[in-house]
Amino acid sequence: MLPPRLATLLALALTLTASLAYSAQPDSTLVAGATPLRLDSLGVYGHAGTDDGGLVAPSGLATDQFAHIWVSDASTNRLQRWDAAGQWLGQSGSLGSDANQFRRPASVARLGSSGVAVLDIENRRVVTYDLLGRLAVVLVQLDAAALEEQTGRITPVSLAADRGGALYVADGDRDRVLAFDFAGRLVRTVGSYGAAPGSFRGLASIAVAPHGELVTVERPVSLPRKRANAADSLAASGARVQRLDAGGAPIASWLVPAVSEESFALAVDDSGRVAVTCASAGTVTVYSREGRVLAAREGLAQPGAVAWMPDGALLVAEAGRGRILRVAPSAAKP
Amino acid sequence: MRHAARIALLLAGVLGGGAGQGIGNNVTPLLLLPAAAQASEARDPGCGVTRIVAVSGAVTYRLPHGFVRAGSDSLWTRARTWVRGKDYLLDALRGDVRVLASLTPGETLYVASCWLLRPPPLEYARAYYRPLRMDEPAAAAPDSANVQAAPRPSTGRELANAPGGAQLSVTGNKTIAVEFGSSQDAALRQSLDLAVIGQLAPGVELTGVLSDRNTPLTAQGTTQDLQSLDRVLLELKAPRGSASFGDIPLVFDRGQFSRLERRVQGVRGEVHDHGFTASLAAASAQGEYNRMQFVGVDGLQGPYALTDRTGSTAITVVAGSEVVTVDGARMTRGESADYSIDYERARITFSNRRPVSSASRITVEYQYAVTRYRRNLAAFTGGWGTGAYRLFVNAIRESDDKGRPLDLTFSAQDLLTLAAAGDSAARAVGNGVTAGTGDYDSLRVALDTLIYVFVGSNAGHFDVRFARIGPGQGDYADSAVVAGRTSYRYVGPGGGAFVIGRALPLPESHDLLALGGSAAFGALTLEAEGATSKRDRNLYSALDDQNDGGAAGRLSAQLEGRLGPLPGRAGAQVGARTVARRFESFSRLERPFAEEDWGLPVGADLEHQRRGDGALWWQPRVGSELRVDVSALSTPDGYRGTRRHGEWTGAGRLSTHALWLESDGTLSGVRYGAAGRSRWLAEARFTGGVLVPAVHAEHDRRRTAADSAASVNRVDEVTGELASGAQVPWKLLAGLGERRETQEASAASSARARRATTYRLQAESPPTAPVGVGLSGLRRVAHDALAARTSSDLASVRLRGERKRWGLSGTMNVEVTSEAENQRVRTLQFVGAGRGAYDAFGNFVGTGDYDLVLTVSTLLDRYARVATSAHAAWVFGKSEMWRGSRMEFTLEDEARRRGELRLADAILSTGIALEDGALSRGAVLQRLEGELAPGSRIAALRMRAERRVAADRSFSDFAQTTDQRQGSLRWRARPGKETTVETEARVNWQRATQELAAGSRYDRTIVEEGAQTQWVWQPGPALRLAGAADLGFSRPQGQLDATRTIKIGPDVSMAVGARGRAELVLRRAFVSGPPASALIPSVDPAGAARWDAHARFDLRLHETTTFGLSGDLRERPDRPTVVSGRAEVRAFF
Repeated sequence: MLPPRLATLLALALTLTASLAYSAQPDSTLVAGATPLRLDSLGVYGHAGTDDGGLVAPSGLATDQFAHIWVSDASTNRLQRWDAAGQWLGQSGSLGSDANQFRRPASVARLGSSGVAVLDIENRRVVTYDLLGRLAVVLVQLDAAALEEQTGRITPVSLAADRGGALYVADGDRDRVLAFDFAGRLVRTVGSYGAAPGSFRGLASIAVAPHGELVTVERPVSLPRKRANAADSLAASGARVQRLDAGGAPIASWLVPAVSEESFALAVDDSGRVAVTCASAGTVTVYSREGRVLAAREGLAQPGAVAWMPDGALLVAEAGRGRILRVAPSAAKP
Repeated sequence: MRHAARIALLLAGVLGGGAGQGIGNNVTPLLLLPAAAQASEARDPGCGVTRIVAVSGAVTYRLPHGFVRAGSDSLWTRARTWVRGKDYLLDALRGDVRVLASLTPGETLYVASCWLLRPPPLEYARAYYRPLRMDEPAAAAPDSANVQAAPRPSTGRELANAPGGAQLSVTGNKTIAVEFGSSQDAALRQSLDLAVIGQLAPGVELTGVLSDRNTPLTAQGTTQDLQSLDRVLLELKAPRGSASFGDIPLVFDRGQFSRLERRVQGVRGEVHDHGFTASLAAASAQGEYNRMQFVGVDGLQGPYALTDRTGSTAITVVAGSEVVTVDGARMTRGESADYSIDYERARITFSNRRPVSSASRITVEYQYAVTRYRRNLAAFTGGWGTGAYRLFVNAIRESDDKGRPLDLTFSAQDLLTLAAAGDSAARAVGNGVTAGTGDYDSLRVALDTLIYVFVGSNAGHFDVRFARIGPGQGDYADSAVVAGRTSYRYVGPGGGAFVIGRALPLPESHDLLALGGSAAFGALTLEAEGATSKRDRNLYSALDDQNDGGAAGRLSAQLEGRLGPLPGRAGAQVGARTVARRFESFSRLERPFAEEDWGLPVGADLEHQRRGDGALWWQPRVGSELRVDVSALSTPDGYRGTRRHGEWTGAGRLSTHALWLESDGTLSGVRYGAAGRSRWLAEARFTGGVLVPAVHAEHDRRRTAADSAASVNRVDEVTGELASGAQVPWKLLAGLGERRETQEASAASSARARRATTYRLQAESPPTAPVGVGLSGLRRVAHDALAARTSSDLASVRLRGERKRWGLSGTMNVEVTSEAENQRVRTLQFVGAGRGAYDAFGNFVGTGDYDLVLTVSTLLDRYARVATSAHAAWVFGKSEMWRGSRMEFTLEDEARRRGELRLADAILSTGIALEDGALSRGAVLQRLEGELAPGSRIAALRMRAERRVAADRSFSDFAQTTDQRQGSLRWRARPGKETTVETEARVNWQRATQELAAGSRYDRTIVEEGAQTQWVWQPGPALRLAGAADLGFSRPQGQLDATRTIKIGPDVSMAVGARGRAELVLRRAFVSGPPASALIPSVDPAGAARWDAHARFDLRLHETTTFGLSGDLRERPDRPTVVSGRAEVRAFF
């Protein structure tokens, strides 16, 4: 038997040699967007601050069937609710690791028709709440020994749920999506590290389309120089958005223009429209299910989360202004 | 030609500029110019383009014209042209477009069509013909226009009011799965999620959700009944009414005697029209109502236990049913708000935003889950109001269904006992001793006294049940919770609250009818209300039923208007109220702690009373009021007294508040019967642009009647605050308060004094600043008469900073609270070799020599808690290779210290967590991770160093600590689009200690080193091949020889046809060396399985339906092979 260090070095050398035998391959095709519609403001929820209804670092956003708005805040470690008219309904959570406590809560996802799920990143769990804001259960404990034995360490970065309450957790470290059923049992793992369709490079966020398809966005990558020069209007780098079937088979992919290291948020509505926010660029862009640009808006202050309302409006959480902005596509040109 | 005609029509729409007829913004006008000239000459006024903006949930849209010419319709969106019959249907007669294709809300649909310029009417009228006679005036001729028009048969629907069908959007999912395996029977699991939203008719909106998880299916494949559904909620809104079904709140707020606020499961309907309103509800009550009021404990934020009406804490509070007030102010639920509540254990804890002290008056109204009978509630409220007159009626009935006890079966003897018990729960006690294995043995302590003694879990010869009948009425008391069961001990006759026996629950009913009204005659308003109630506390017994009824009534008159030359408005009010001793309302009539105003002790009955009030008030301007009132009160308990009260509230930049209250009374039947209260209060606040100073002074003296001594409580308090004004971007506040409490008892001539000083500090930076600070701190130091000092701290700190240009960012949050926890004991009982399930340290090992008994005491340990979360990141790199590189540091810790907190606990060191015995619990996570050159094709690196320390000393006789240190370095290469390679080396060092109070100690350290590598080849979406290898060395520290494990195997994923996908993950482990050791002894085997396989097949049967089949296999040497699988069908709609 080889000593461990020698075996490690040997494996490194073998894989390095194998990797050098291959040449670079082009990436996905950047969709040349048509002139997008403008996203007009319809209203604002919340305000900057730490009091009731105050937001500091909104990190997750979802709406339920009754158009209530759920917002998690990574700074104040709480989950707040508003109704569609803007009335503040209540909150849950504080800093800690006990029940009903959070450590950097992130994504919020509508869970079936009867509640929401919240990704509690540093407590490494997914907790669920009913429609009245009452803690329901810890649905998935991501660092449970039995689960880690199956999957290895999980570093959650994003969470999504489908209409049936099945959960999808994006593991940013290993570039994969873990699928759990409505009872919190691991069902399968989708994707792995790689540039090919169905694989991920720097998985950043995830959303679930109506029929269970997955939509993912990855960290930006540079485009090959000749392609970037071919379209002046396009950025020299882009973040890949992929639409995958529930089993992981790729359906479509396109690139979101991005100029720097971004943090992204995703949302998909019932008709398949995909909304993508780029935090440092301050933009939100709406794409059709095929990746065609439908609408866009710039000048947002660190949009950290996005969600669709049942009436078709779009909610964008602006961390820089401590508010939730409600926008809708306008027929007028920007 | 057809295309050219459409372009012409488009341009015609543009030139015409009419509403609803235009061109899409995405069509380039240049392309249309050649056709424009032709179109301008050939424009047909009966043709045009209508633009429809899609609305969520709508499937039918009406064009502005009916009678669309057959074949003239053409529909398109910005993306494509639509196909008739496939993408849409058109009702040419009415002009209704029914959308079949997917249309995004907000997207524009263009409809080109031609229609009749002068369409015939969609209704016909019967015309009469009769020759006009010369002697008849022309006006007498029948006018066909006045004949009632009837719709034509082909347009039978009313076009304006009955659009083509309800516009409902139904979405959801149905999942059915079968699970099977070698260690389980096949099990059917299912879930249903359904959501309906939309319009049933114009103005009638429906929103509903239905959720059902893990409900067993009947043989017919349907859910058993509606109550087994997890959640059903329907809301129907119409212009003149609404209805709700499911988990609904029920609020009646008319009048004073019949107010009701409940959370129920049932149906509620409301109608309102022409001044009438009516609401009817029928529901299953989720719980029984109770209200607790208590005074806080200095420095203890919680938990405070909630009880049922008998004082038992073994209840579950109905979630969301509670109403909490502190000092009269309603609290908001939420850990970051005012309080959190543990519904399961019925405990409430206040947050650090709401400091609790011995001066805090706390009231909690709540419902606790019914455990006795199914309880039903029916309620009706109706009202009528027009101009100056108002009338209302409320009728409420809440009753137990005595024929449906929950989790109980009554014997004939039990029913006889219930029938003879009358309204007394103390008499409704059945037999409670059963011979056989139990927790108790009998012991004769006197010739005629046989008692039962707790001897341990399942260690005695009798199973004994105990019933709570009230303090001072029983001969047993509860002492602790042992192995999840409460144990009881004999304390002598009348010394406890429990007796031996099985408590037989009494089914109850409660009816209330209230009538009231008001009438205004100019400035004078008269109000009257009467109510009657009936409460039967035992539906099984007719005994005591003569005392079930009670009545209440009130009258008041109010005069309001301008008072001569004085500014503002003034008024006077007189009123009288009587509430009979037997009257029972559904909610309390008096505000919390109102009895203190009269000198009555906290908890005295003030609900039943005879009272007269007179008041004068003057409101010189909005927000300012001077009020003076006088009241006289007598209660059935023998109290008679009067109260004088004056209060001033002034609004403005200088806001003021002053209060004076004086009451005197006598409680008959007690030796020291004099009672009363003297209180004054003064507050002032000046709202300046820069500074906002505020002062508060209060004096309170309460004399409480009692038999043993006349008790006098005196409180003097002075506080001052200085805050920043609106012109200062920072929010700053500093405050200081001093409170002195003195309790005197005249008979003993003794006095107890207590002094508490409160320091308060708050600072918050502007929210949009790149560097932010939020600080809130409160320290309360109390000294009692013996000079004993206690202090409590509440604080929160939030720091954040960001420097985008340098890629730096960081946040830090700290929260400090004071809480309490039940004392716990962990006892190990030796039961013989191999006869228990635990080892000598209480670890569950399946087969051991010990059994573990957990005992939870009712005594509380107070501790200070601090939780910290800090995160710092540096993101750097601009080139393709280096972009996304980052270094991050994360610190998460939590400390619960018995006694006072130390400053170092805010950033808890691992050494303190592991060694400091004063820490009840401590946890620390330190993580440094970095990612270098993530864009590199040949060397993307990620390193992580992490340490997790956890200590649990919450048991008085047991402590456990774990210390885990992990380091890893990963290297990734992406030589081509089809190939990736990944290798990770890791080192894990883990240590666990367990220590018993007796001195025994367990200590083990495991060291693991290893590496894993994975090679992936993915030529396209249809195929993915991977090979993985993992090499690991694991050994307890100090042991030379390591357990060597090599795991290798493939991962295969491939497309099966156009809609299917199959996956296979297979691992084979080769283990050599000594057997692997677990860090803490456990029933689960340590080390890797020899064979580990996972296979899965997914198939999309239909656009909305998927099928999945998966199987797992795990095989270990000398253990049965474990196989499990799952087949699942999911349908989305």
